[in-house]
Amino acid sequence: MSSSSVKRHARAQRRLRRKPQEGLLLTALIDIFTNLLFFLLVLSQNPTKPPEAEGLRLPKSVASKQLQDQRTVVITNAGVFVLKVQGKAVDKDAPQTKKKEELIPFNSISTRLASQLPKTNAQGGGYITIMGHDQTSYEVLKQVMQVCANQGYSKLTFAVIHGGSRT
Amino acid sequence: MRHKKAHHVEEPNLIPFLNLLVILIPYMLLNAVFSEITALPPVSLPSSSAGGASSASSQDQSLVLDVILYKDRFYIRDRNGQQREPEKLIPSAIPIETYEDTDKEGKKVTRIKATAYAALKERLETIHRQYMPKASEIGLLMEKDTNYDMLIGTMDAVREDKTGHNLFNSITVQDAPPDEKAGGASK
Repeated sequence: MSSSSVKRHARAQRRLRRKPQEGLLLTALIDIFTNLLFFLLVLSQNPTKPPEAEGLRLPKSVASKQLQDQRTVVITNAGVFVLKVQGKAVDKDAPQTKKKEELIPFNSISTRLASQLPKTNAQGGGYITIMGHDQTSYEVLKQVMQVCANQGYSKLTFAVIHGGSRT
Repeated sequence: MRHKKAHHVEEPNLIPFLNLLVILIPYMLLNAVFSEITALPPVSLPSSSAGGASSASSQDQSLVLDVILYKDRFYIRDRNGQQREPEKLIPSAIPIETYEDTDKEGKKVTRIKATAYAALKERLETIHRQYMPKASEIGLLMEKDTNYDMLIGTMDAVREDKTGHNLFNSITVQDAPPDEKAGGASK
């Protein structure tokens, strides 16, 4: 080994030793955080949250149509109620304030639901959304649909959770 | 040495920005909606169209399909009762297999197997292609104890073909006639 290369090595060693302690490398972390932030921002563009009502699990479907802001009837496994509409499709506070005794039981849908559902005089029939628990029987669903039709809502939209195809 | 010092670049202080991110990200994660609610296209009721029977009798020749959801089979028929014998497609039945599922709360849930939905979709696709390439009207007839999940599953099967093209998009929901096959037996 030549003396010059030894010297160069020694110099390099000295330089390394003299270098001040570096702080944590935060650039990568900030990159991840920034990406995550943008991802979440995009995700929160359409906040149609499922209502947090007890005993309500929406069925899955391939449908990808946006839920419209319109009157909504919710069918849980214990009863039925009408969701308040406040500019957004789902009023976040309504289902949580609903107590069990405020629900319309299945055996009095035909008499009591109509009083909570104001009549519409939209031309060609009004639109209404039905959010049903996935184990609701057709018997109950039919009663709800009939009340809706009697009140002038003849275009029924079923709300679902966007999920994978079944077939 | 002096030369090196002149080149030393002061790094920006990123700690306040990091603090902001650390607060903002958990907040947004908590608020994020991972299961989005969507909607199926509107369904109509037979009562609003003044009864299916009267309109059916006025235009006897047109073919309108009905899919009846019985306990053990999908039954496809012509609403006007015509027999389309040669192909044995209308009327025809597709057996339904169900399975018991347990949900998060431990309750039992009955669902129709995906193979049955797929078979229904395939049969309807064939009929649609052969007899009624422009039709979009279909009736879904259900028994009282059919559950909502099965209705949605059937609607999905009926609405689009495998490639995502429209099949039968305007759906009417009504009651199923009594099941002749099961009439004498267990019911």
